[in-house]
Amino acid sequence: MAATVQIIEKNGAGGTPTDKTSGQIRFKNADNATVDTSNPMVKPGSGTDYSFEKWLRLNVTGGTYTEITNIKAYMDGASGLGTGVTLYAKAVASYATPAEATGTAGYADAFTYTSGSPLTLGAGPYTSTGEKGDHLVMMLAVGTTASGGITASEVLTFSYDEI
Amino acid sequence: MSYIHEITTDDHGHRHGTDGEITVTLRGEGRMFKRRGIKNFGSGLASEVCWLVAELDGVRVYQEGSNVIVTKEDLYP
Repeated sequence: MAATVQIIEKNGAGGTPTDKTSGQIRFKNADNATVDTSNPMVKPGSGTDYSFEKWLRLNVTGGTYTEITNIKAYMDGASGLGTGVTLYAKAVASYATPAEATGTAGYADAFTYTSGSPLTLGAGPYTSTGEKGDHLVMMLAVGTTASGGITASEVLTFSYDEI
Repeated sequence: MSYIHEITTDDHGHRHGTDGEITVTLRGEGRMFKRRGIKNFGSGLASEVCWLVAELDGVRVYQEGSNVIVTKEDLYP
């Protein structure tokens, strides 16, 4: 047997979870899990337009397992988001209502986290069901050199050890 | 989606990990675990991957399907 694991996006003051395991994440200027063109990022005349944060977390919903350890997240190392668009990531233990980012302090470029140097989301061990490890908090920054329109999609990998 | 391995321990304390076709046995000390991953997250086409890892004296055997890697490296799917 094995743990049944999903990746959730959390929104609102209460951290309402939405299963995004097989879904998409849309960075926007609003706190919701909806993938639409409402509240779009805006190419600024000067400075940077930051998105609202995306709070993602591993969630064990069932199955049979002994423990989960070593939760990681990483990208492929090559951003396809285009000029002037940067995706940032960090690990945060405690949930806070997703807010519009105001800067990059505490973050690193998400594409610096690769399979050879992943972002640690918790060593564990974790048991039973429920949310496990730190939150992966991500936000998108759009600068003046960005092109208009919807960017190309990017993907990330969540990894964990299980016995 | 790749098969998720089953790990069992026999009466002698040896660990056996199998994907239903290939069985890896770790005799004696060391550790065995599954390194699982959710790849392509965010695309709407995410897929699960499961590697079986047997580690003994810092050397790891990673197995997925017919692919086996022996290394001291900490590899991620």
